[in-house]
Amino acid sequence: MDPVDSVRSGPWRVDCLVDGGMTFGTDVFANVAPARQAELLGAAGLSAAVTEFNAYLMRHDDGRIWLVDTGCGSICGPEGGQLPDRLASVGIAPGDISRVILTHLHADHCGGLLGPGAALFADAEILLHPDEVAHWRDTEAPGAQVLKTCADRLRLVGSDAGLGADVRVWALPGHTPGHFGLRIGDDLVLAGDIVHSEALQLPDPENATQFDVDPAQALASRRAALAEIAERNLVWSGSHLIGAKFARLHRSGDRFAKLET
Amino acid sequence: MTPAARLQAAIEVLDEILAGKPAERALTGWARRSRFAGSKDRAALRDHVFDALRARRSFAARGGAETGRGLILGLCRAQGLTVADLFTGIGHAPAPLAPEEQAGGRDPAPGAEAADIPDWLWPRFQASLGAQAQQAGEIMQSRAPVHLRVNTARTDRPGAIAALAGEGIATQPHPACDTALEVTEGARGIARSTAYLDGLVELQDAASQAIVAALPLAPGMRVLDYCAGGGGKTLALAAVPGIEVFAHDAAPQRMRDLPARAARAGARVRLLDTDEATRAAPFDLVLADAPCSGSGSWRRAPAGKWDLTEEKFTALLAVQREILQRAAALTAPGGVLAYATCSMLTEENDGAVQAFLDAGDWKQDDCRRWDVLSGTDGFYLALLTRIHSEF
Ligand SMILES: [Zn+2]
Repeated sequence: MDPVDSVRSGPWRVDCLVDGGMTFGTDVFANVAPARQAELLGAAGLSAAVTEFNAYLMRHDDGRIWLVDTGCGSICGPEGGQLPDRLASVGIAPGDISRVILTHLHADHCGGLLGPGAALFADAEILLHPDEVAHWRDTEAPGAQVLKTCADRLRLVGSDAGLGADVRVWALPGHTPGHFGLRIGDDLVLAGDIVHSEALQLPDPENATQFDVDPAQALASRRAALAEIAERNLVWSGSHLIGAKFARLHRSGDRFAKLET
Repeated sequence: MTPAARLQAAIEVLDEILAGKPAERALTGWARRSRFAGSKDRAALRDHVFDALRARRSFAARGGAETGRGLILGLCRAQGLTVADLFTGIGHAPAPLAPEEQAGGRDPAPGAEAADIPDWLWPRFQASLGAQAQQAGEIMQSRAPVHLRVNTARTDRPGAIAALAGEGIATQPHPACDTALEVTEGARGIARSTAYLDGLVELQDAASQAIVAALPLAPGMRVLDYCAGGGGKTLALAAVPGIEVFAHDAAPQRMRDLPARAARAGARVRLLDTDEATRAAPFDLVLADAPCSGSGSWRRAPAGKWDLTEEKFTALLAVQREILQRAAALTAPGGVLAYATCSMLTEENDGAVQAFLDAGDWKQDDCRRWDVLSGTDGFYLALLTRIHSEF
């Protein structure tokens, strides 16, 4: 198994745990001509838009253990569902986790709460944004199923809510209405799904997947988030980063580049 | 009764069936009229009648007529019996053959007739079974083996074998799955046996059991048997520890025996009507054992083979497609839709599944098929899950 990328921020140690990965077809980035995709991917040494599903284990010096997103569970087929093994590899049992923070309710983030392994995080309270609940509640999507099966342990957190221990909600709406990241201490952020392919979207943030519920708002969130990370020289991670999981950003004009730390 | 008298009784019963009476009713009617007959006579008569129904087409060719007499004459010829010794007209024996009966009859033509498959179906049967179509048809001319399912909530396979042996019923493990037994001796005693009445074993074909064994079940799952019918598979599901089992059928009266059978097996099953099933959804696994041609179990129910028409078959294909859609709507995200038939015909199996996959956001994770060539009834199972394409 690959080594786990980790970073520290004050009392928190954050591990990036990879639940799985897949390759997006060119149709996923519908607003980018395939030739342009090939060019950008080629510049990054890739032949296709490879992505991974990242979840984060947060361990505080005082012993509390949180989890940010739960991977796919069984929903995405064999491409995902490795989070339980990753947790075990760093010595954590699912029952050790007291709080699960869901950046949003797409299957690759909440799927680990569904299916035969649904008892996995049975002791954890589950945090998510109220706009996410409103968006998915009456659908047949996995998110709706999570809302149903976890109804008695949901806790809704607002756009700038403090979660304790110097962790705050960082609202990044657009990808989904209640999509958010986390600010951890002064210098670390988890940015969720603002980027699905760093090779395609960092050089040109206009490049977007067809998964964004509100593309204009998602673009605004992406631009603002990337700009802040670059300007404040923050360490960041995104749920779909491949390669180095924690990095800084360099900005030139409207282009961004990952600076490995 | 003499062997010849049993043949004459079969001729009469077959005439009633050919005139439209259901086989079981014709047989019970005969038994009621024939108080002189013993249980061995009734059993022999039943065998003759069902042998003739399974091989109706080829026996009619051999016997020269599709009548009770023609079929039984065909049966005697197919089995190499000396017709003149049996068709004597003495006592209750069939009348001696007329000269045209002597001269009539022929070997069935290779293909549909020799395989006892209707002509309209033969191309589909061949397309489905390929080079083994002829052999599969011929296997279905004979009686099906009797299989039992060991109720693992009550006992294990060695325990069931021992209990049955104590009542004169010899069984051996069947390779299709580890709950299956094949009865090698004493099959007629099963319904009266304590092992059966106490729920240690159920009558169920091995492939049908293998379907349940092939389902990805885990403790805590809520499982719906969407086309439960008589509930054979529901009971097999209910024997799986730790899962919650629900049963639904579009015709709820078909499930009327289910509570009693469940109680006998020490199992708990909740019956749901269609509205209740919608309210109780979603389920972690929905088994849709769809109505089908039954081509995999025509040995047990040969009338189905001859009653099936191209129109009925086409209507079944539409029903199967609709059931897939309805069952899919009851399946939880991340859940499994298990589509099954007791058919060997491609259009009802891969055909139905492919049409379903083409229309929506589902993928096939696994597919298994059993046919009569492997010593079971014919069955089909596809395990389907949703594709989640939003990230
Ligand atoms: Zn997403």
